[in-house]
Amino acid sequence: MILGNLSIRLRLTLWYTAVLMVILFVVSFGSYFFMRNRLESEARSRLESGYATVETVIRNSSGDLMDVYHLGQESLFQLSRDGRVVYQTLTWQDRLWAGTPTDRRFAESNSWKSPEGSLFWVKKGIEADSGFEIIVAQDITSTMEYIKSLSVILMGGVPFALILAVLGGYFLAGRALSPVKAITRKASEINAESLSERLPIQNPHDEIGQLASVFNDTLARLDSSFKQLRRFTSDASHELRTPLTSIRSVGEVALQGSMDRKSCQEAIGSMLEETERLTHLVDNLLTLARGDTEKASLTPQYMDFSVLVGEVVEELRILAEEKNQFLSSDLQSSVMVTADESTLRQAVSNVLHNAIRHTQMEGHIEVHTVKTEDGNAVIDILDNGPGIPESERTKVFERFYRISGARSSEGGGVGLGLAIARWAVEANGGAISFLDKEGPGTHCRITLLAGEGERR
Amino acid sequence: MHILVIEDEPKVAKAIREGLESENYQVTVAVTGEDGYFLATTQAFDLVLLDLMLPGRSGLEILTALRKQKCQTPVLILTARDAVEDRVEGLDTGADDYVVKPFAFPELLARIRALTRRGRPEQALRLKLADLELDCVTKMVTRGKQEIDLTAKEFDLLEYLLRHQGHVVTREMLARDVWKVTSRATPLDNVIDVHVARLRQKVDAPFKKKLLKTIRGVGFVLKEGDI
Repeated sequence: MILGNLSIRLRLTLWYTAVLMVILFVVSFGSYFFMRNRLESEARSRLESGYATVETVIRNSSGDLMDVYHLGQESLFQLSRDGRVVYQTLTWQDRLWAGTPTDRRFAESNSWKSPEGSLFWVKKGIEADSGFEIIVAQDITSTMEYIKSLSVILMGGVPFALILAVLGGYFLAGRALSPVKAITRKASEINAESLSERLPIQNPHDEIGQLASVFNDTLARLDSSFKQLRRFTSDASHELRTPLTSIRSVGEVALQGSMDRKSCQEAIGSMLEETERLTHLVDNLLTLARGDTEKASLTPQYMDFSVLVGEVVEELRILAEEKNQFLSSDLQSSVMVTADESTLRQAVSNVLHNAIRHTQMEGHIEVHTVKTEDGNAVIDILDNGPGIPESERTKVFERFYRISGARSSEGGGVGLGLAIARWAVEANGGAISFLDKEGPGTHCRITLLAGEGERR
Repeated sequence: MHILVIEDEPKVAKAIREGLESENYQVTVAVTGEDGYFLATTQAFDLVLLDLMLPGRSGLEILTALRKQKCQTPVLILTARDAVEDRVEGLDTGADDYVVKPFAFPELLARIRALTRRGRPEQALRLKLADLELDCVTKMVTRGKQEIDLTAKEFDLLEYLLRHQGHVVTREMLARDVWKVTSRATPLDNVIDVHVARLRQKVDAPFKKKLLKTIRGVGFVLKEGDI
């Protein structure tokens, strides 16, 4: 479309003008023809009634012209018999002509033009009884002038109105679009470095205000994910750099020192441990990255969640035993879910491992599974450890997040365990969160949707 | 035993060559896909170690070509991509097994041993190292004259270590073969460490001669004498 290249302002104006033009033309032509019809038919009916009066008078007076005189001097008519004028009203003589019309034009045409320039409509006829030929004329000059001036007004007025409409429309469109201009200017200044800036909103309730606030929401989300990404990148590089630094310095120091077999083995072993840590870290990051791109190849299957939880509990029980912790489980039988076993196992395992790690020696850890009334599967993992402050309960699921001062990378944890757990639970259509708990400790709950049928 | 290593990264190729040679394998290294393909089709090898990411011809192309030539040499794939699809694609193309980079060398050795003895599995029912004996049928473990009481997991662990005696066993191998877990996460590593520690407590602690050794950063080995 040709209009496609024009600005919205111009397009709005053009559309507006086109529509207005159509409306104006329809309305003005309509009223013109209506008025013309109306005036013409009025003039015609005056002519007809004049003629009828003359005819009636002549018929009733049986050819006596005395009665005709009474019709007054204002009427315009002429009577003739056998081509000879018998009677003309005074006005006829004044305005048309005296005597017999010789001009053929006047004889045959139905509208005459008088010598002085006035226009007349004429009706002719013969009264059968008396044999008079009647010619009645009606002055229609003013009617015609009226119609003409109407057409002049319309012809001149419509284009003038259109020009005004174009200018006004262009001005109004510009005004209406001025917030858009402001937004455009502001938006073009916003880039990755200045995502915290927001678009100006003049009226939050109109369309443009809504657009701007939607855009601002998008900006806010972009901003937070950029920030998250930036923090993630710096955390990840920090976590990667730490083992790299160890490897490097251990290697360098070993090369400097006396190279007996024992210390060589010691150094190499230490380097290998760090390599292991790096490998783990990269594996975990890969898991999360794949989860992000939704490419995780999950194979959901119908299974008993309690059985899986029971296996995880037994697998990790030995870690609790090492800390003399009391690990109890209360698992309702056949809590069926449809989920990917391996990712779900990882989630439960990470959460339980977390609880064991952070709960003190001789602490208590409880694991419950239950099927809720609406058919969802719920696992609660409670401990009486130090707990998580309420303000940090959602943040602990962020990558590399660590409760300030809570732990260094003790036990190989790098702050990805809960992030992976959340990813795994959400990939299986569930939800994970830390809840309020009476007394000290944490209460982690994972909810999975009911296991009937196929999801995902 | 002659092994062809097709690997373009010089450091990795050198490490594999030296590692395998110290285990008394004969090793030939090819640094490009073309060389590797030429060697594999013109000489007899007992095993091919094939890197999937090679310059020029990719590992999968070489594998496809080899299998088309009716070459039946076992092929062990080395890949940095651990995406499931890649592994499946490799196995579908005709690879016998795969190891994901970065791999632990003991694991590579174990895979090579498994592949080269494939077809004649040794399923000894009594396993023995020094005075430590394990009976797979009666589930009895003795050291000297003394009977050792093990949990089921500890028994499986000891059996696996005995079957790989003299060779280093990594945590990955234990996770996969004893715990039967494919994706290894941090919790399991700790679990494995605790089980090994307890096993050592029962099998080694009361005795003078220590058999179960930890190799720092690598894994564990059941072996007489020093590492």
